[in-house]
Amino acid sequence: MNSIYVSKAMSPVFPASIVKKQSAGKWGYIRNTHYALHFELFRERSSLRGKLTMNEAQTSQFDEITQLVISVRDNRNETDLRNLFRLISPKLNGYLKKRGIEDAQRDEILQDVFVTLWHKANQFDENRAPASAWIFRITHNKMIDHIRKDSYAIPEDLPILQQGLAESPEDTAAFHNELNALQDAMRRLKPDQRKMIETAYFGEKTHAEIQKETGLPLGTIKSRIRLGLEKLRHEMMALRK
Amino acid sequence: MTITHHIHPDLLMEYARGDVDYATSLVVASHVSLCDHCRSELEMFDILASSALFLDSEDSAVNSTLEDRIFSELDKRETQTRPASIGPYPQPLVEALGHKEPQWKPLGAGVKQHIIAKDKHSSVRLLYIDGGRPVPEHSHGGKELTLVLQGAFHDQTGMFRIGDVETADETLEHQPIALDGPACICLAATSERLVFKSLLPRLLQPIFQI
Repeated sequence: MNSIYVSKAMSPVFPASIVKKQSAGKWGYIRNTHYALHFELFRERSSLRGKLTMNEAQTSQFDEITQLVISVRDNRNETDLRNLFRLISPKLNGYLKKRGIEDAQRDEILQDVFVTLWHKANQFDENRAPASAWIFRITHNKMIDHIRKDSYAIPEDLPILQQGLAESPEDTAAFHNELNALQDAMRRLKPDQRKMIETAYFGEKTHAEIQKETGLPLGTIKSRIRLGLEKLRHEMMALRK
Repeated sequence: MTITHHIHPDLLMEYARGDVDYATSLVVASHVSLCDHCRSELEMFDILASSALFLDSEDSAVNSTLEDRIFSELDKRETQTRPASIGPYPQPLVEALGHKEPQWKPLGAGVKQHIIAKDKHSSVRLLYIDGGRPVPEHSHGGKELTLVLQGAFHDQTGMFRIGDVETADETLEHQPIALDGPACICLAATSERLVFKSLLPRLLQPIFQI
């Protein structure tokens, strides 16, 4: 059964192996059961943090970036961070370039990002979000730091993992199911449809350009994302309780 | 704590993009520190934005010396440890106060204030209002955001308790009054730039269900 969860692809996020067995029918049932078991193990592990680490079978349900960040956090091995650097720095660099950040500043920002990943890895909680979203937020904040002359307030850090653990494995499992469903829906969007989300978020284009783009028929995919997000918010809230 | 008055999702997204002024960022960050709902919303933006980014964004090779530069300094460079929240003041506000207690300046009528930052277009301050007293008007036109940190106030639009944010502009005729009992402490920002550019988020409404 583990083979379902093992990531073979080098795809930077959400390898197909992670999203392909959605919550439909029998697979959904098996998946939920698997998660429940997994998070029992996980809860046990977290109480022995630093002494135990997850084995391959336990971590392989997460995408490659998330696995690397978990390993950086738990094993404190620089090699993992190097692998993470090689995997994602071209992507982050491409993003910063697109935002019009100059070469030298991009280097500084990336340096800041990886130093932060190393020193604050213990704040990463795979029960809350995929590591790509966490790294994206760190990068975005560092970028804001570099390009703004004034300061910019950021929210309180979340409590580190031990306190942040979900009350019930079911909540966590449901959250991951929703996350996977959402990401699956994202993958099925055409690139120019995803671009719309990206554009609205990053605010790079003129209103007229966006208006033109939103003429695209998103149809059922859009409603899937909407449903996914609704549920996702619900799960995230449950996890915080 | 049940928070019923949240940051408007349009504003939350502008904040996530890094597009609001400092005064506004401080109120948003302080509210999000107290509000799981808005934090979830922010994290959902990040999940979606990072998915789109990693799926579609073009790679750009990094400077070949960067990796070695980063790894040779990894342990030499420390990241700043953020201060803990103190009493009613969440982490971002403790940072804004320079890790010190507010220096209250009396304004009369049972009201004190501490100005955190002020420029031509915006300001952000703490207000301390004795129970039962009116909350002073702190803007002259433009928008204002008022986050309750201690106690509560009420006006024609409703009751605002710890964590709640009231968003007001010149069209809102209201006279907030602190509840009887312990003093009410609020973080209040005014901003000329705080105009909801509603087009972008409106387009996202069907997707984000906001």
